[in-house]
Amino acid sequence: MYTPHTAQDLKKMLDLLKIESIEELYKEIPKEVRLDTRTWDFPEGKSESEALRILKDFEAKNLNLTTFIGLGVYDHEIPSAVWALAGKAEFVTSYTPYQAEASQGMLQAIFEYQSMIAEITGMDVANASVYDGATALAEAMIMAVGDKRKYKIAVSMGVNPLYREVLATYAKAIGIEIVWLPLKNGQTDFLMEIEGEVSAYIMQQPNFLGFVEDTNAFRIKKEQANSLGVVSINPILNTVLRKPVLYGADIVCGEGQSLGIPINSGGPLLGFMATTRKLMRKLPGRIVGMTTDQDGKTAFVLTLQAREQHIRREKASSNICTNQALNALAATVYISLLGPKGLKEVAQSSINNTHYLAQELEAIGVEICRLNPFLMEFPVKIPQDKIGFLRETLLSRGFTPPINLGEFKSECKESQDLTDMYLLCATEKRTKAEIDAFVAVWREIYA
Amino acid sequence: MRKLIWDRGQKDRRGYRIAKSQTPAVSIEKLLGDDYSKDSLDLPEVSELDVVRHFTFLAHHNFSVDSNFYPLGSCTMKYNPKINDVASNMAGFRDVHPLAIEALQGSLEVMYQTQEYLCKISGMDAVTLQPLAGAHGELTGLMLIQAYHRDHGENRDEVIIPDSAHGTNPASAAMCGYKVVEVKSKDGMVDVKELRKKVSNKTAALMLTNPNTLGLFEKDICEIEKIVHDAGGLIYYDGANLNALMGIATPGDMGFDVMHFNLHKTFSTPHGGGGPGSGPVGVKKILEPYLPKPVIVKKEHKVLLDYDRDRSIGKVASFYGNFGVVLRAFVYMTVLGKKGLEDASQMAVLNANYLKVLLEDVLDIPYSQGAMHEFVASSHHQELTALEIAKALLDYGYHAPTVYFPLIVSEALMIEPTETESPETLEEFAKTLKEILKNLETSKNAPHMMFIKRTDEVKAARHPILTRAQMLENK
Repeated sequence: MYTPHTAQDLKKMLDLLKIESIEELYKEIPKEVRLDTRTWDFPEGKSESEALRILKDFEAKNLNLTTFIGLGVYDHEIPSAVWALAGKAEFVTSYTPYQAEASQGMLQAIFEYQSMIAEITGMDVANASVYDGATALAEAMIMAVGDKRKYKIAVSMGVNPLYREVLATYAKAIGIEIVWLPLKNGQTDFLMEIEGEVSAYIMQQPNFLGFVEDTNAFRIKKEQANSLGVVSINPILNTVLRKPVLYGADIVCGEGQSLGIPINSGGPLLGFMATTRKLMRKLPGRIVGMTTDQDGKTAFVLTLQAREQHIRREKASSNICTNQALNALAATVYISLLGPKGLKEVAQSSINNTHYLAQELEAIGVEICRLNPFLMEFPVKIPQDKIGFLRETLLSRGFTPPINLGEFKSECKESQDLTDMYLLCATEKRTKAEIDAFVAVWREIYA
Repeated sequence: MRKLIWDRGQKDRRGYRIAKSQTPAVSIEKLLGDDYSKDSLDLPEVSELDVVRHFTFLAHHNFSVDSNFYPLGSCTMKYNPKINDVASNMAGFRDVHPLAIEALQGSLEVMYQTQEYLCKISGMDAVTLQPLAGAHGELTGLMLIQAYHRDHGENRDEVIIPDSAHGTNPASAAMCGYKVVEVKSKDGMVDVKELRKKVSNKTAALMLTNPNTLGLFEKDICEIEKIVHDAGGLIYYDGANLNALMGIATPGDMGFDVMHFNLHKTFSTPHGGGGPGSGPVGVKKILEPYLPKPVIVKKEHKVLLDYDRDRSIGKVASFYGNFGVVLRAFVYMTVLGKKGLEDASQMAVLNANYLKVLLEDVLDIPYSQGAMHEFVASSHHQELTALEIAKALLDYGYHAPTVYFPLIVSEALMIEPTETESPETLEEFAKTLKEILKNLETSKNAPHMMFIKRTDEVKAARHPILTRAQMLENK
């Protein structure tokens, strides 16, 4: 399939190569490692229609649920124009823009993306994206350690537990010690005393429970310790939140999936990273810059490449090569369509829905955890005798069950106990009718 | 003057309106107090049509496989079949939340089946799909190697890497805390004598690309394998060039312990202008206990996420990998099947060799013997540099080959035509190269026909303008 060679082509090509068969092209491969295709157990090929049938069978095994959960990825509206444009084959089937003259389209789009991310995060500069929110935070940790040269960092237990696990994996491999800052009453205890110096304080705003953190405590502690401040944010909610730079952030990163990218069973997502002018040359990954061509015309190029693996090899700021360019492009289209007011409306509408959901559940006797102000997510406590039936009923009525927070690893004993705690979310995409129908299921269980 | 998307708009113009909120309005200001921001953001205010025109314009100024021959060496810019896009747009896969486990069985089965296919193609025992790109796969593979040695009470802190390797290899090793030991090439391949001198009880691993970046099969692979394993090290296979070997030979049979696949190379998933990619990692049995959590396993006809792995290195990504990319690769393998995969590799090798012969009287081909799916030419003896040739090709509608890599060839042009090109395309390309080398004056200042001329990269790096705000500041 997809190879155009006819029998005549093959003959012509073999003749020019002065060989009898393709087999001769493999003569450098030692016999003992040649694969015997007669015994190679791989299925025969399929026609398109057969392949599509196989796919539909798999697809049918997924459940089509109305989503009331988040924890890092969110079911937001995606305007039709986003993928009509980001899905254009000229973007989709291009490579990293190494030849600037032939890739001005993608380069300009990434420049615009960097500009938008810098604006939303409130930082000076952004890179062209990294893999996802978790690896963005891991890269930020490495960046901070590279700058401050202390192999120790302080990480809030309010950081998404999935991200914490990724941080721990990277830290272990690199030899970075993580000091976990416990959650107490829904907020991070930043004031906890730490022995020795740390390269960075890392927090998430709002934290994974949905609560707004004590940003002043973060700033005080980070400044006292003379370390860097790293903040993981939600780009939609950050449009209504105080800019992290105002409370001491030197690196702001996060998950950009909310910006027009489908949840995709977990990926591909979009990691973004932004920082100050001072730390610009320590950023990992691709960066696009504006310059001019020989005639003085505006042009865009990959720049500051002296940081990167293909130039610096083992001295590079990161090993990252491929990033999430197409998703960065989709986010650029999304932000353009929504504009400054539209993004705030997404935040406002999601917050309205989430608070309505909380109130409705509270009204029927569900225990909502209101330790601190929350925005688009909140924890609920569900008794053990109710959760099993609730889960099953929600699934059978076409809703996602809540996320069980007790299942996540707790790296810190002093941190608050999350047993029987569950997480809920309602984005702007949920209609009032959907929320009411969702609450109706809970009412049955709690009656 | 070039327009940014901001320049196409007007204050208060809108490109999209979300559904009107039907639930009671919350005062965010009251809710947040000091943490509230009412600052307006300097973002574009444009209509949907403005957005459509803008990005359509940008698309028209971008080379791609769908529009141009793209022989970018080591990047395997093969055709990306359209059925793959149909699959990744199927709502049943696209809209499922990864933590709604009960809703995910179909996606998990696709992932499990993909793991099985990749095992069969590579001769490995187990595969994780979690790494999100090739370099991420390298890092994950090295973490597995590190965990293995630590688990065996060994303190090995060196990784041996040939001088012809991709830059990601040493960068990944360094990121994982390893000291990089370079081994020189001899006649374009690993110098086995030197390798023998470099291995020791400090060797954690050798990282090797095979066929290597010159497109040559490391014919001493069996000896190399023995040298490293005898010293107690493991061998890592960089799967960037696996497109030469499907159905021909497997890294598993060659003795590699761990490898990554580039689904966005070998398995026809698009590169998206620089990603998303996908970098699954395959391992032999000895490394299986260390695979990232969760591992996707099958138990009694049901595919499950197994978190109960006490020797696992932990998670390396938010969820289970770039599923949308994995799904495309799954479709590709399903459609091609055994014969199709073998044919793809064969035609990739045939095309590279055919083009190599067509270019033999045009450019130097320093390591000509036994090229596989790509080859490296040099303009060392020509009046044009590799860069000038690359830029001149753009005027003819060809994307340039990879230039100045691998580092061991001067004025290198690394050419990988891939299997999906016809011999006519290769002939035209060779003819064009001849013309370029004849028309020296025109070629030297190329490109002439592109949207812009040669760019000032020095200026870009010395006075970085990375955002619109910096651009405005600069004016």
